[in-house]
Amino acid sequence: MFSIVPLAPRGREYGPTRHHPSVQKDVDMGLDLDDDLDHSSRITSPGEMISSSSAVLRGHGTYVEGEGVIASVTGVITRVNKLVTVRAVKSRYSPEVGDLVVGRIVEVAQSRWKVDVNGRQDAVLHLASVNLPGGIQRRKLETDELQMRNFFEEGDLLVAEVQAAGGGNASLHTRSLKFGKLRNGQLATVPPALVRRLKSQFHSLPCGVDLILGMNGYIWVSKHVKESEQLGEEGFDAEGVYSNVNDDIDNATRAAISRVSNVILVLARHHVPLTDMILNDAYDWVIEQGISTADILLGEAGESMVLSVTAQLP
Amino acid sequence: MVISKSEQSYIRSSLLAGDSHRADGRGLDRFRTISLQAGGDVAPLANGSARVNIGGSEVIAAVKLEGPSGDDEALGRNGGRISCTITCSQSAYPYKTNSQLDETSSDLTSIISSALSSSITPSPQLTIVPNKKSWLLNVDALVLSDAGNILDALFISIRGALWDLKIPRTRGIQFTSREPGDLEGEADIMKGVLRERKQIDAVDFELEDFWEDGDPLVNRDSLPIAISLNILHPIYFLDACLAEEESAPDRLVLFFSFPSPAKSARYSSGGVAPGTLHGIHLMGPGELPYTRLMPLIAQGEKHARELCVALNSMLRGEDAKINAQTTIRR
Repeated sequence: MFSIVPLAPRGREYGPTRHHPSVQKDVDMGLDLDDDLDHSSRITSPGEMISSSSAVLRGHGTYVEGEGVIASVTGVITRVNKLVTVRAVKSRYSPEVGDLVVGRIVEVAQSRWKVDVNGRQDAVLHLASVNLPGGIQRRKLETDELQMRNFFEEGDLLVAEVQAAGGGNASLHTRSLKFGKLRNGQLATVPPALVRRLKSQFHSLPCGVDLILGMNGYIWVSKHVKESEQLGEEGFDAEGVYSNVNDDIDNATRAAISRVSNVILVLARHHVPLTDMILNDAYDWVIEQGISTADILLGEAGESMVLSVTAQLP
Repeated sequence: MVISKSEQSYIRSSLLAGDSHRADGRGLDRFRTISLQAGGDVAPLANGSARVNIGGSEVIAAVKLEGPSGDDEALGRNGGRISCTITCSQSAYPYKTNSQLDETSSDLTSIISSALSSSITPSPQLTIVPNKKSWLLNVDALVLSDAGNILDALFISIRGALWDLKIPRTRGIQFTSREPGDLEGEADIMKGVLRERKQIDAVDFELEDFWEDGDPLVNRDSLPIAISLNILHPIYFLDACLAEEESAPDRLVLFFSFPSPAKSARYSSGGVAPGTLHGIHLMGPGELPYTRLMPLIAQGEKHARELCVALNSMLRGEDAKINAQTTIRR
């Protein structure tokens, strides 16, 4: 089955007219720069003057030109006391302490792993920051360093928390039973800005699908694991946690996982922020309309789904 | 891109399950949406160009005609020649080193150029001066991004560029020595034949019209097509995404060409005219038992034929639109 459509030519969109600097001042005089103190957030684009530079500290995403503070990226203006920053709409993930991230091992180095978290740099996962088989309190041995690939190999996906982050360097840890290697599912990648920080990044949808919304834009969609089946503290063993073997998954769950993945990708394509409420609504809408899984992503049904879901947003 | 063992095993078990599931819910023989643009603004300076995007795999292809420059290879050749170069851009493979990129590029080039040259050349349309000069088609394709199934995307874009190709009309000329009372310099070959009534061989050529005009290739419907069948015993599937390519690395690549509908209408038995197989490649670490090969080729021919028909009708539609626009402009 083939569907062939014409490709839109590139480079058709042009920005608004730019004026000569001497004219620009006259244009800007019309702007009333004080009334945006009342707005909580305002979108700006590069070159737009945010405020006059008196009594204002400029932060990231801005620069000073003449007597004004001008935005250098497209994003949302944030003011904290006297600090003005512009938080870019499209940017790489910046790790912050306490974030939950889904990462992929790219390198096994001496007593640490390098993890790709969709940021500007790879994060680091130290051998001391993972749970070693044999109990939580087990001491690290020299042989553990030589057998690091028994725990995590190149290409493995894991969920971890950011322990320390400074200047782009992030350090991860998996010292909790809900963290660790991921299996029984598939990965969906969305822009990091769309993932909201919620009370819990772990969600369970009623269709038998578990979601892990990584703050870095990596979302793990997997088969539901019941609370009672999760291992307790005493039963922590290497076979279970670091195993690469999937459980038996029935066809209905596989179909549900594909459907949820597609819904996530379509919502991301239309820049809809992701929360479990929105995902629930979108999934129910898709089931009601009886749209086949592939058509969510490839057909035009995706547009209608987004419209109906966003209409319910406040 | 390396994926984890559990992801690979999940993809494999989903494909082999009762009603096969793929990551995005497609059927085993369904392609992602193919976006195609032939001619127009893709590469205005080339004689033919096209751009294709299949679910994120984006390729630009362009064809440039080269007249023979006088080296010995070109002399005495009829039917034209085709030379193909595939380049993988660094932005498509950010984690590959330069030498790995070169290796990938040359692998793709060798696979594609043999299939192209056996199916396009020799063609009488590409002969300029019989037994002396013929066109050299330089086909260049650039991989801008790879989201799986890059070989099919490459071939679709090359096919689109060849569909868009316009071959300038030429006229053979010959030089006669000056005789008293006779026309000096060049003479039209037709006039020459009529007047002298002896075999006059043109030795050179000139262009009749401007570079933008020209004739498209005859039998554009029978341009070749490539189809990759990803093999995971006992099933196969089409248009793999990157994760699926990692999980099922064995691939059978088939190059087919099908006769144009006018020719196949004359096919007496009322069935469909069979396609011509121009090349088979088996890629990947696995083995394929011989007994499985023939049924796979038959299935591949079926899919290739469907893809050909879909592409031809879409490109013809685009041509009609462009013609309508130009007539309106005039």
